[in-house]
Amino acid sequence: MESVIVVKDLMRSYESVEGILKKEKKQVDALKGISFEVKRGEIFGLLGPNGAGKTTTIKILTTLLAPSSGSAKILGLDTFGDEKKIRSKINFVFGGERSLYWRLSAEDNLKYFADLYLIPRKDQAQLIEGLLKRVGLFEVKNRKVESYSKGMKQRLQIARALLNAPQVIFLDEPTIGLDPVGARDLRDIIRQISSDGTTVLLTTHYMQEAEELCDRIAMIREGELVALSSVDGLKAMIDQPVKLRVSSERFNKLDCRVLKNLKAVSKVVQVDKSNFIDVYSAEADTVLNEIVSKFGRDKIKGVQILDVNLEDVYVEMVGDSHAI
Amino acid sequence: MSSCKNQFIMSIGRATFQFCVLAQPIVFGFILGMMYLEKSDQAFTAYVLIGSGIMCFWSSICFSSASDINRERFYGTLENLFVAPSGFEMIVLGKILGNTIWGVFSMIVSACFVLLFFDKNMVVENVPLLVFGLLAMILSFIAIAFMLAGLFTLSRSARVLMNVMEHPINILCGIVFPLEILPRLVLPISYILSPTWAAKVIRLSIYGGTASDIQTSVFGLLTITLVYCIIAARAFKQIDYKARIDASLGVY
Repeated sequence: MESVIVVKDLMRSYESVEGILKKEKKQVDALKGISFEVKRGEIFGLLGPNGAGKTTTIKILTTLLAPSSGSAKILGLDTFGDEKKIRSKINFVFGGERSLYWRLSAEDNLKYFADLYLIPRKDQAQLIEGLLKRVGLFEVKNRKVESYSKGMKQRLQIARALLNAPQVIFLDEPTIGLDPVGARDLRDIIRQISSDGTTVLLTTHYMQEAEELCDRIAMIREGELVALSSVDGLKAMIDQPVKLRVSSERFNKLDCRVLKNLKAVSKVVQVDKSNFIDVYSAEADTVLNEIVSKFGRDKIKGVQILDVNLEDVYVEMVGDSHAI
Repeated sequence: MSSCKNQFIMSIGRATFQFCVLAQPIVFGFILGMMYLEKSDQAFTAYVLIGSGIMCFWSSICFSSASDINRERFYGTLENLFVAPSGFEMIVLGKILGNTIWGVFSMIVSACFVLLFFDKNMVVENVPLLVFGLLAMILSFIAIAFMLAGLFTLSRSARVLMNVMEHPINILCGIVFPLEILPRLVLPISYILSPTWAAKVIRLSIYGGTASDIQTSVFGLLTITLVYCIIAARAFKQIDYKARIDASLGVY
């Protein structure tokens, strides 16, 4: 299948100034030479912690930022050089509630952006009506955007980004801050967009979302690409096919250290500072027996054997601050 | 035109801008009217009727067109405008035109207040020249706004300028009192500002003047406005390249 996005050895550095009286310029390398390709019609995920370089990558691909070196091509056109030819063929949504005019209604926002995208006036009414219906905002199209919920604003942003029927759409954390229902609605819309043949490049911090939506995923850490594959391919990259989730209210640091020193245990992670501790091992049965014999019922409320998910892969590839 | 219409609606929704185009003309008209109450009819016409209008027009340009780029940056829409196929410079120009309409409206409010509130005769020696002077002044302010918008796109720090440039322009350009009372040292600055020449043309239309005086002032005004247009056009050519190198679009 044809690649619509081709990124080769992409680098981007920023200059930051530190100090007030004695100013010192420092170079920050946001991207350190990443390469990947995205095929037509794919939903491609870009995952990584804050500051990993996801947004910088998207900004270069959307012609908003110049690369320091390397190349980024969309539909065979260079994002820094052929930007005028690219811009009418792509669109983007950056997460959050911005990128809209809050004092205008949803319909007026779309009319304005339709004009900016040079969509003929005679086609606008039907197009805007269709998009508003698609994102579920038709009934409230005349309300000012400032009265919309966060989810409604995000959906309106998607409608705005679809005005020019882009061949490639970039979604930078589109579900950030949304409640579960709002996020699910938005995921449905993203799936619809993809089923229409539009290529989607998505960044998100929600692993379940990436697992559910993406055909392939690239993981970035500190400006470098650390993994790139399908969800199953990524899962196969890590050594431990299973993990044991130990539930205990009485585990102290010493117990955690004991857990980590058990034979065949590769990693111990406290789950979101909760009472759950994930124990990674390639030999789950052996470790389970050892845990039960070492700590007994006094300390352990329960143990679940779980398959690894994308979050485990992410933690393995990108690193985790909760590792013990 | 869409950008102009959108700006027209959006601007007036802001309380500061409402003050600029509705209340400020009355305040300026009243203050200047009281200052020039005992002066000649010509001085009253030049510095109160026209002067307060120009002040209001400049305020609306300064606080809207010039700072619109920062506002778009704050809304998070600057990047959307920047990549829109209709062209960033055309969008900015549309926004400036939208504000210009409000600027002209504020001039009319000011003129109506001055005419109704003060019992003074308004004297104009050369009406066609006054009309020309006012139109040329509007054009020169559009050129200034266009130039500033380019500067604001490239640099976030440039917004500091906006807050300090409103009244100096009124003073340096001889809008509310004759240039002759300013120290000689600052006059070169006055003469590189197009409103100075516009104000001169307008005063000549009121007081009358020789053909040579009129020609010099009109020539000065048109030349400086043309220079501003060239600088603005060059700045916008550079913007697409430089703003992406400096990453100055999305950061507020």
